[in-house]
Amino acid sequence: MLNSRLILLLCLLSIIGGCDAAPLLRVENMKSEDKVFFEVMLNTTEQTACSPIDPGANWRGILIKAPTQVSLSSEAFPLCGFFNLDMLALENSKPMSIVAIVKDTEQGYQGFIEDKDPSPDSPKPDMPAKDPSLYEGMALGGYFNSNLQKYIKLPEQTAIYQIYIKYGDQQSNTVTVQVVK
Amino acid sequence: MLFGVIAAIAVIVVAVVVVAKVLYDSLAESKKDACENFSDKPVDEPVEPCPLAGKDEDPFIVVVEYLDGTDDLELGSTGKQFVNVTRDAKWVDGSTVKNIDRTSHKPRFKVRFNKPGCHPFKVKFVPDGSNNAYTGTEIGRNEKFDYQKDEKSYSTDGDGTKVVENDFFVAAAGKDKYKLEAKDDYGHTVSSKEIETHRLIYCQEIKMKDLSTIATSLSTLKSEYAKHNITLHALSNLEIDHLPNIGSDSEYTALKNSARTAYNGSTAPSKEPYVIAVLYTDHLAVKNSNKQLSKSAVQVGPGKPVVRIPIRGVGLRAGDGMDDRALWQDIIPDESWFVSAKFLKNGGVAGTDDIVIAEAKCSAVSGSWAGNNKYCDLVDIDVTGLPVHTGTITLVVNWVDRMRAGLASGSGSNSVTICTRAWWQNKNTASQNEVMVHEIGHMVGMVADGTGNKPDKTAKQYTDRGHVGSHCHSGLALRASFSSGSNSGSDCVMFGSTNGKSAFCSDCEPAVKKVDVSSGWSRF
Repeated sequence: MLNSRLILLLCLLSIIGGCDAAPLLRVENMKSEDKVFFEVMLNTTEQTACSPIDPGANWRGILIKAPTQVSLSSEAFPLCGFFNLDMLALENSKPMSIVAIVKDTEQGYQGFIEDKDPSPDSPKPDMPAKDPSLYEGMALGGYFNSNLQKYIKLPEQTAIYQIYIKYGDQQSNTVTVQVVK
Repeated sequence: MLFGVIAAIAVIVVAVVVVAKVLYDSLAESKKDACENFSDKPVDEPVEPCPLAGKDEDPFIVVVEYLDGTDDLELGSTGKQFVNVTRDAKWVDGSTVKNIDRTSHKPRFKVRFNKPGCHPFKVKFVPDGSNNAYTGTEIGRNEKFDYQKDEKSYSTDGDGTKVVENDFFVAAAGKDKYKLEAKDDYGHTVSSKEIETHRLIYCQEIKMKDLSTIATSLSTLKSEYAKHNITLHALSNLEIDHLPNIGSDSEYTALKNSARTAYNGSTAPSKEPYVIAVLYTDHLAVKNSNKQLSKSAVQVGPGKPVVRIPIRGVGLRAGDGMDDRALWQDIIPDESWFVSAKFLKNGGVAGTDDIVIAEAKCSAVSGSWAGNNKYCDLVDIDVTGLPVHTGTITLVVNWVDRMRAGLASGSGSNSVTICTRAWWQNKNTASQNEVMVHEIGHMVGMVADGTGNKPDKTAKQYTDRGHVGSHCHSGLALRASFSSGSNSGSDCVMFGSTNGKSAFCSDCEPAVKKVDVSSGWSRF
């Protein structure tokens, strides 16, 4: 009797898990993950709880993570990432850029992750050029925690965006973020 | 009988003719006399007043003159008119600003006739031929770029005088000169003395304690602006606690909070909105944190040579590009350039086979800069303690993204920040003044780009291009980015990087004279 009830329960759970319950559970988990994104100090270059895992020194590329949902009223649109690229590939590169594309319309938005500081520099001291061989085999990388809203002015309406980063000769993975009311 | 009647009539007729002749001759003589003595006003013009009244009794205009403190005091010599400030006694100090009539862009003046009565007159400005010439588009953007061009009609009060105020306004520029010209209805014209336009800004220096150097004089700053009739009047110095560096937003906020406390307790607020606070700081260095540099194919193990890692990366601002970077050291006490270092042998698994390299094995190497040995853009790693392998070293460091010479608070806020040390070296009074000229230049609206209430775009104005904001490339050809390459030849203080120049170039000078600073600035 007990075994038959247990089998029935397992069957029910199996049905629920295979159809409706799993997505519900995933949403539940994502909301929890989303919350963590909004606790990250943005516009920093620390490794955080939301940072992608560094795949290792010999890996080249860009990885990003983002919450699944961002409120229209939110001042933060977190985007946490990691990159590791050949130094030579960045030699004449444009700054790192964020691309956001509206899923339905394919309308695209782009912004460069850069400081807007109008202050005059104190020029660096003139230093002799270094031996180019020093730069051989060098890669440059790091974490970033950007607030997309600082760099891209998205329309004030709900939408689903597909977002990725471009830097040097690389493009990151794409994340999907829903902007909700 | 009949003969007697005829004779009597003849006598009467002759008498009448004689009397008529006498009267005619008498009147003709009077007319002749009148016309000789009053030839410009013939007596046969019936609308003219009687010439016999005598010219000493004519009401005619005697004086038009700017007032100089009271309704009874007229300007005695050329007056300095501070056109940006409001009409208020609080600007008057008796020396720079002589009296309340030397404030505001609407100078008062007085007209006097020779006798009491209500006498009509007309008055207009006569601007000097050398005055700043605003274009139609400039005036269209900002009405304060215009002066009262109309001739206006008035009548004296019953006492034969009239004080005119508010109707006549001069333009916002410095170094403009205006006279008044007034005339009565009888063709008498009089002129006033001259006013020359100036702008007044108060300068509130706020100095950090324990700075190793600080500008000993503002003379370069003051004299540069004085050339364009902007008077920078220094208020008594204030002092705040030392902060080692202003780089992040939070550090800047801490600086402003500290400075604001000192400022609020000073006389500066009473001079608002025409006060600019000058905050002297230590370094204004911007840190780029946690940058990972990996070098592959390195050999490690006993007897192996040090591995040299060049500190090189992309700047945080657009256009800064890839460049060698100095390690973040000796800027903030207890903040190190070193974050971490590790080695991964070829074929090893990241996260499992990594070998940590101790900080003590990593040495900052100074470049060959003669300035000092703090500028280090290389790291040597002692790998002799590692097992023999070939692999990749990953070094994570903090480096100096850039060192700023100054900061303008922006958004109409009234502070500029001047660094007294850059690249670990003291900055002398001249270079600090240079930065002050630049930053205050931004505050007064330079480099004009033809937007808002600013003058038209200057010839060598550029936006961004490796710098941020509006600057001047006078002396250099325009190029995509000024953040790299030689900037030798730059000859304007408003270039986006310090260049040893503390004067505005010939393109910027006219705009500095034209700028409108009447709105002032809000408290930082």
